[in-house]
Amino acid sequence: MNDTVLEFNQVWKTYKMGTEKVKALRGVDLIIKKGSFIAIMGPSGSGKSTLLHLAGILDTPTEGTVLMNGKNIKDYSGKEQAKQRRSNIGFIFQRFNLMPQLTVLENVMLPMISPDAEKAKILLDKVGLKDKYKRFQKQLSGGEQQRVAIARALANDPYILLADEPTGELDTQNTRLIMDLLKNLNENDGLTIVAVTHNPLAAEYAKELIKMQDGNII
Amino acid sequence: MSIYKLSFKNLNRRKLRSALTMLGIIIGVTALVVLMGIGSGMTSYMKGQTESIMGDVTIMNSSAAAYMGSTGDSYLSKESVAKIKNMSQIYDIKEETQFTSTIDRMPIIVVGMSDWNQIKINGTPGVVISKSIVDQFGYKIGSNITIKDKKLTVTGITNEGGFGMGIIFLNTSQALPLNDDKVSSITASTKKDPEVVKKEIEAQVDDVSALTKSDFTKQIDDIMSGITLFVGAIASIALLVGVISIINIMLVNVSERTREIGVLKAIGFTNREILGSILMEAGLLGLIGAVIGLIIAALLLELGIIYLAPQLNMEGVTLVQMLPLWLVVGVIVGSAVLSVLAGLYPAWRASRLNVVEALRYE
Ligand SMILES: Nc1ncnc2c1ncn2[C@@H]1O[C@H](COP(=O)(O)OP(=O)(O)OP(=O)(O)O)[C@@H](O)[C@H]1O
Ligand SMILES: [Mg+2]
Repeated sequence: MNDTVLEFNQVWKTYKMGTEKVKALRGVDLIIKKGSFIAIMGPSGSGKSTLLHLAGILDTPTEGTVLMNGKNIKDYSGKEQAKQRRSNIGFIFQRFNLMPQLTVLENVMLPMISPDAEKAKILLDKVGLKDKYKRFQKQLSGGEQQRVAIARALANDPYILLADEPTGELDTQNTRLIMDLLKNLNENDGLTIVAVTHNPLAAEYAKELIKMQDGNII
Repeated sequence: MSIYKLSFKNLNRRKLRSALTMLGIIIGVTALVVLMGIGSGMTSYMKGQTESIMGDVTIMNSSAAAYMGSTGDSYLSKESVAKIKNMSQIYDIKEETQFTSTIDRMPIIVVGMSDWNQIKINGTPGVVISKSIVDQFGYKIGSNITIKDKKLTVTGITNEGGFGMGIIFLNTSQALPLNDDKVSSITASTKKDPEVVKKEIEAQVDDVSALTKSDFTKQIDDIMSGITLFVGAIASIALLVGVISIINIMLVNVSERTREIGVLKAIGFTNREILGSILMEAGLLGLIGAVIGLIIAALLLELGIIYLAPQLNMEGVTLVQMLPLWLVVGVIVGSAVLSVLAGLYPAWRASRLNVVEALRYE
């Protein structure tokens, strides 16, 4: 029980669009153990992003419970949710991850609870961006931007890394690079990773594969 | 790297937009500070002048005193003058007289001078005419003029104003007989506290008011602060327009950065931090605008001191008199605070953005 990072129990998520209700998740049960590396695949609209958002305490379920380290995320106040995200969860999105007005180094330091330029540089070196500290987002390739996003996600040593189509806009070579990085983080640092992807090549790097359809895991 | 540093960096992102928004504040602050500065400079200049030329007390007819010491054509009675001259608590007693007359049917003011240092003269004291009389009649030093059938020879010319009204300055001893020895006011030094002597004089002599230096300066303050506030209120409208444009621009900024704000929230910044950073950005627009506006206003005022003050006979007025600390601090703090208030609504909108929706926003 102690090595369960996340636990979904009969989780439903319903969005209201005017009078219409969209059931994005329909009774999801899922346990994510510490140290796992899960890829989530499924057709568009099947609820992958919604699931990831709940896992990252960006949102709360309409019904059912999401437990993070045994604690119901609904019991957190808005401020506590933000605090959890900042210190314990790392996010990587498909694109527009970075603050365009900040340099690479500043982007990595942005979420740091105690700003540490040396640590930011070590993280950037780890993702292969040595010597690009001073660049801005627009001076980086798509793959480099995603690597900065990974470095930033690791800034506060989270215990789970959530990635929503991190390679969605990358070519094969860069996809391999990013997925290799994630695999390394999982294998060498024991980081728990959940990555949503459409790309079977990317999914191969994960230890487990979860498939979703119509708001549920199949 | 704190989120508040983002506020600084954000100002740099849309330079033209930030600059134009600040321009509104700059114009408002410049207008406000220049106008208030002129008011405050004139006030302290007038007070300084009053204090340097006045005796400890000025005694005049009570009805005249009500009009801020402008005696016009009301005079002290003969008995009052005699009584005052006999008082032991005052010394250095000087009678002043002032009356209206005409030269070639143009109304002029004749002022008896007991202290010629009060005005700047081109020539020598004795019979000094104001510039407007020179312009009107072409008199110069040595010309003969006639006042109340008495022939006088001009000895000097002064720039001293009267706002177009011609003035002739004579020795008091010469002016008094021309005015049937009627005394407009008496100035004197006091042996004790002027405030005490003032009360004694008013108690002992009927129908007179004794004004001390502080009475005069207080009256100047009252009148000038009224004018300055009125002008300031009008100039504030310009500043207010600038502040309102901050609301507008920050709403645009927030909506453009929806996605970014979503990311900031996703990586763990609280709603309050988002709110604070937007308020900070709005406040910075106002603060920087105010500082620039203040610098421009100071330059304009300094130019005014150099080029306009001599023409207005206000040589010696200083920038420090025009820009008192309360004005500088008030404008900077006021502008920053108003701008932060202007940022409240946009900041509130940003902080209330739903993270998930903001992240879906492209
Ligand atoms: N804020 C919202 N309001 C209304 N409906 C929403 C909202 N967010 C998601 N949905 C709907 O919920 C369903 C699941 O969305 P979700 O984004 O989780 O899908 P996904 O699997 O990530 O799809 P994709 O592969 O296209 O990213 C979709 O039908 C979507 O239209
Ligand atoms: Mg998605």
